[in-house]
Amino acid sequence: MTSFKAELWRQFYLYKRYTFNYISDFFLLILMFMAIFWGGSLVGGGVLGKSLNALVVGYVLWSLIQNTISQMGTTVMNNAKSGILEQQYLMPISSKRLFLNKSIVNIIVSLAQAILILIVVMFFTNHWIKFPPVMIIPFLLALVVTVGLGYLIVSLVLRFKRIGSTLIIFQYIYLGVLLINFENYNDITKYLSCLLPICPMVSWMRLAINNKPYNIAFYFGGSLFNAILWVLIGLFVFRLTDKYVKKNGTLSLY
Amino acid sequence: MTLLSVNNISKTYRKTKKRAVSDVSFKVNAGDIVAFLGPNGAGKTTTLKIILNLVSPDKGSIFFDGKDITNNNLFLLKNTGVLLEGSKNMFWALSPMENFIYWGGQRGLSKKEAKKRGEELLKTFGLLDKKYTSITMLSRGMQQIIGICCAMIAKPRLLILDEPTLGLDINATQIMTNSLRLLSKSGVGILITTHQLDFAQEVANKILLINHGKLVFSDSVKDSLERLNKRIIFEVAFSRTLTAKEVEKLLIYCEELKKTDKIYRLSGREKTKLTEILKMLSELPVIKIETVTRGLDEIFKYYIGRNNDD
Ligand SMILES: Nc1ncnc2c1ncn2[C@@H]1O[C@H](COP(=O)(O)OP(=O)(O)OP(=O)(O)O)[C@@H](O)[C@H]1O
Ligand SMILES: [Mg+2]
Repeated sequence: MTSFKAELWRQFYLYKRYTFNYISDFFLLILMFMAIFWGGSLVGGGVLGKSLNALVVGYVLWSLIQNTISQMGTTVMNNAKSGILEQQYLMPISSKRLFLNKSIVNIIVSLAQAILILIVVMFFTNHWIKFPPVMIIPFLLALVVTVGLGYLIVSLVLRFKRIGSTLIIFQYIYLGVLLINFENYNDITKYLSCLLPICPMVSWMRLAINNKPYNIAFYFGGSLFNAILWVLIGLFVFRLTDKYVKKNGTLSLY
Repeated sequence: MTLLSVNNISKTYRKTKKRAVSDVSFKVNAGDIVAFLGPNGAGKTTTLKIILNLVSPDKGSIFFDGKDITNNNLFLLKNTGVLLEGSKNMFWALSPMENFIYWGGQRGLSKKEAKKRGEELLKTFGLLDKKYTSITMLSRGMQQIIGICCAMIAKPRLLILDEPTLGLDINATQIMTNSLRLLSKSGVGILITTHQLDFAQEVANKILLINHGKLVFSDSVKDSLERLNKRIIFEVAFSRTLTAKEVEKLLIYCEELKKTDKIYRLSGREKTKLTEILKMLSELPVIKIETVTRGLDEIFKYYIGRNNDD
């Protein structure tokens, strides 16, 4: 537990050291959300649907996932470069646990930031977004998938070291996948979409927030399956990578 | 008590097809300071990384405190502090104290414990006033010291330091020497690589010499130095070149180790009395004479030189 707390403290110290930097980032995000709120009705689509509520929730989810994963990728890349990663591997916790801690801290920090921004923006625009409480479940399950994807990204970084732009390109391609309304397709496609990371969760949230009727058992089962599947895939690939890296002695990039 | 036991480890890196470590075995006991020496690329860092399971060995096993930890080394990690090459084991944007809290926390220390222990360490090294300065603002040597403090934060039973004296000035090296001695007295086993042979000789009680991945020498420092200095060795400078006859006479009593122009490095032959040597010398045009104590560097030169030739 202290190892997790230590990870949280470290994040806090970084915020403290680079306060100005983070505050300006924060303002940028607030401005962006303001734009979404005021211009929201003009923009069509969005991951979750056309309504403003859907747009906001969709954006929060998207930025959370994207933030966590890309942050994970860049931190591990930098840490491998500076040799810190090696030192972290020397702590008496497994490397699996180490990256789980990092993922969770990243999620908590991004989530806190998103909620804070939403509250500020909602206060200023006096538009309080509403969403059905059941949406919490797919939202949380989507975060679980994020942990699995985190392991995948870490594996890619450890294996190939420099993956900078590939990561960004892939993120936007995947945004496209999330925009597909699988819930409107036939059963086979619907089932298959449960294999793609976060897809059943997004379909579920889209249906819920737009007040459409849907089979909750199917979406709950699909989302749960999806979460477990991607965590297992992440862990499996990470394990292979861990072995590979130790065999070749390429944990650090001097 | 044997703390760490390394048994017949070998490693060939796939990429370079190079045998980096070849059948290396040694032990570190509690209270030992073992200097692990060898030229660049000899396999020191690779050996340390195998012990720490950052690199997997092709063959061999590692035991810590009697337990086989070759495949699962959390037990070793729990009790071991490490500084790998360079001071790359800290978050540079953070201060020493913040680093202590992070690394201490990773090792199970609470924030309060880490702070207390960190202050003690900083005081020992005389850097207490830097506790809230970010690492980037510290000098190279200070960074190195903080790195060592990070390795010692959780009171390890085994300390593994890869070139800890890199970039340290005389004063800091002395403090380092003293703290390592203090630690070893309290029962901590220390394994240390360095290229500074005088530092190794001063601090270590055992030396390991590795060359081309093979362990070529391993002995206690005291014994090997005693053996090395059993015979008296001295250097004599003469005012002119000696005649053949004079040299012949000289070599009745002494063995020539090295000769440069008018300077001879000699050692007394076995069973030769010092008075006989002095009497013989008094008949020669001596202008300077000094005794020579041989150190680790002689052992190093002997083993590494020889192995590089074959
Ligand atoms: N990741 C790696 N992949 C391939 N070869 C490697 C790798 N790491 C080290 N080597 C090779 O293994 C050999 C031993 O290297 P090692 O770093 O262990 O030497 P060292 O004794 O620590 O040297 P130095 O005193 O310079 O630090 C060298 O020939 C080196 O080139
Ligand atoms: Mg080295």
